[in-house]
Amino acid sequence: MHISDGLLAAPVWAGLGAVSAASVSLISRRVAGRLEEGRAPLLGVMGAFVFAAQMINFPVAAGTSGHLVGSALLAAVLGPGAASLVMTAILLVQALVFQDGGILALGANVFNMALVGVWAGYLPYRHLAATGWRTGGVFLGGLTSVIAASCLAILELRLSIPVHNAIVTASLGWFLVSALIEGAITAAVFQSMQRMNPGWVEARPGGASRIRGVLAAGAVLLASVGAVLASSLPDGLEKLLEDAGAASLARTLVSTPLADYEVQFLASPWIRTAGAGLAGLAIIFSVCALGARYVRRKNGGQSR
Amino acid sequence: MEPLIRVRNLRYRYPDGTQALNGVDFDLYPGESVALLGGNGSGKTTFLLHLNGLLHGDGEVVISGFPVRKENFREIRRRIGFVFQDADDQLFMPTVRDDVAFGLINSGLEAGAASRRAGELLTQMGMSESAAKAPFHLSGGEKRRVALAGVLALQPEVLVLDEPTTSLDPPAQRDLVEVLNRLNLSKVMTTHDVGFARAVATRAVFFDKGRIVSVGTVDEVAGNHRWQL
Amino acid sequence: MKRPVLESWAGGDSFLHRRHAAVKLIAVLVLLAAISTSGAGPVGLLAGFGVPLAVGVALSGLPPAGLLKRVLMVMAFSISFSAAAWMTAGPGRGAVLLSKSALSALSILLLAGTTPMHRILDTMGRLGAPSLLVEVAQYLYRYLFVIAGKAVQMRHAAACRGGWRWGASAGAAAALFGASYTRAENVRRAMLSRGAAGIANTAHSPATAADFALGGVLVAYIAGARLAWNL
Repeated sequence: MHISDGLLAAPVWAGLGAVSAASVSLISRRVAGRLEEGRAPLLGVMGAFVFAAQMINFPVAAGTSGHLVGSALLAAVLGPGAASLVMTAILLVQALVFQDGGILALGANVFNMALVGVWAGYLPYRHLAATGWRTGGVFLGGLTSVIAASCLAILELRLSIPVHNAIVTASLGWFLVSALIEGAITAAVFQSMQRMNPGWVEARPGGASRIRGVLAAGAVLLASVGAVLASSLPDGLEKLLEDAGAASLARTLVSTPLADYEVQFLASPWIRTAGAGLAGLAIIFSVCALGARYVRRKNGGQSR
Repeated sequence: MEPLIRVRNLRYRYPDGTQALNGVDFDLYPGESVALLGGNGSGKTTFLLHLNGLLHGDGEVVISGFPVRKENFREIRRRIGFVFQDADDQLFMPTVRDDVAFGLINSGLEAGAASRRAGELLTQMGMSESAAKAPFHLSGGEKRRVALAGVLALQPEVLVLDEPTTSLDPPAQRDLVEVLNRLNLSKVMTTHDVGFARAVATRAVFFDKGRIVSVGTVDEVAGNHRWQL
Repeated sequence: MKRPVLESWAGGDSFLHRRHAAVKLIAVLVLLAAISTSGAGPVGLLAGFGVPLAVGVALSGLPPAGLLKRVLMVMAFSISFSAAAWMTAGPGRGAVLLSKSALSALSILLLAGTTPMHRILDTMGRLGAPSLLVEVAQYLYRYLFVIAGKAVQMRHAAACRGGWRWGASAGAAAALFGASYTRAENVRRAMLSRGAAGIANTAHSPATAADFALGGVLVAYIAGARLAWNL
């Protein structure tokens, strides 16, 4: 989902532009430090491969077809740092040559797809690659990367443009379908690659844990979908948090540092909702992280 | 006289277990142009890749007195000018002029001077009008000329060509023969085209299963192995 | 894959084509930021930014109809969101979004239609973009059409045998990966053969007085218009 120029509010594109520029420059330096001589073309050619692979149709159902997005596949093949860099290069070329996505919006698109999308796709794979659920890891990676990227995009657009809640909620269903398709395509391509040449998709050394892999995917999924729902169903989430006795804590956490500023902006129900949503996310993440830690301890801390 | 290339008992096995070279002996003396004939998978290209250290097998490979080892790569790669089979692999820079200047800049020339020198070389090759173009706008024959210019820029002692006539139409092939014969350089080339070999090479060797199994003039070697249509 | 029409547009020659890439890149960023932060209504936007962009189109020598067609193609995405904004916050808000999207798209097209891609990337590197990112993007663009050509052949082959099936598509994608991987390995060899390193240090020419004049006029116009008409 490439956001084009003219839609995002200035604080959104400027803020995400700054975050993405800093992250990509850091990643670029780290990847450059580890790259073997003469390997930069590989990254460029892999970017061209993802572009070209998008021309191959995968029949889905009733005459419709999907195509590869590629963040999770790149993350599995190249590792997350190099994959982020390649995805950024893809987005840059798409914006300039094909006007797919804007230039001011590039920061937001990079943040959604090249940074969060790649890492969200990498997390499940990283934990499942060395277990028997390798293909499952790739499937989950494809799924989570698309869910995370599209949910972020819709949140950013919603921060910038007034949009009815119903439209936002309805788009979630569409995201879920495209994410499932991307997961299935990524897994199918990955399996074919493995059959053709196992050397292409060698597992990197890393913690092998089925539970952590599934938890990571679940956390990304809950966080993404939760954030979108939180932005459109304020009462539901706030009520849920209240029932859990967490709403007052969340409100204190979110509003205290800002309480002195009586800016109208902050008083808007949207921001309160977003605050509650973020608090909810923090809670979901903490629960998953604690769960993962518990599992790791139970396994004797051999992973990592 | 010292040979430009001296290879003794070269063996190489690919990581997947294929034994590609099985004891190759080869010498190239100044002024010689040798065609490597042989079937697909007989080891010709693998052999070429050993001449500047892109692959490293067991045995001895010496270029103008320098054994092919990492510390000699600079000297060796300057002396061996490698023209790859697919010109698209070789023309990786954004513009034709930048591509010809690539090796010059790596050899220490300042960017402006390299660019001017690249312009001169392109003029010699009759390609000056394409200097600012992106490589993918060129025809197959033009790409081959630019690839050659980029290699000649480094003033090599030996020109190594892997299937240079691939995907060239007959006029472009004739054109290539003319360019190559004008160059006062020793050459090693793999080819399936006996006519081309006859036009450019002074002698030929025949590869089979990773070994050189016969040597002689192009016609003798091609005749021995019924290597024509 | 058909080579984008921008590729041939960028190869042309006009006042705008001859301007320094750095000046054009910065000018477009300033223009985009001004469009994005403008508080004007749709009429003000179209008048205030449409006029300088029309002058740009005239100076670029690019076909206006072709530009318009491409702007509309880009708008496909914006139209749905403008419609959503229209339904939620009234027609005025939707019209503002549509105008801003169209003007932004035209600005980007003027840059990409008058500057070769490799020049834009090279300039980004000079202006501080991470060098490895620029290098990767250069290789990506260089081999995009080579590898896409393979994908087109696969599409033809699939069509001749009755269209894509799921397994065949996955196999084709994997084969495409293999071809790309081999390509990258060959490029590495060619690069090492000519002394390695990577893309850097290509020669470039300095900006001229005309370049500075173009940038200066644009910035002065935007600043003046914002002060005078609250554009």
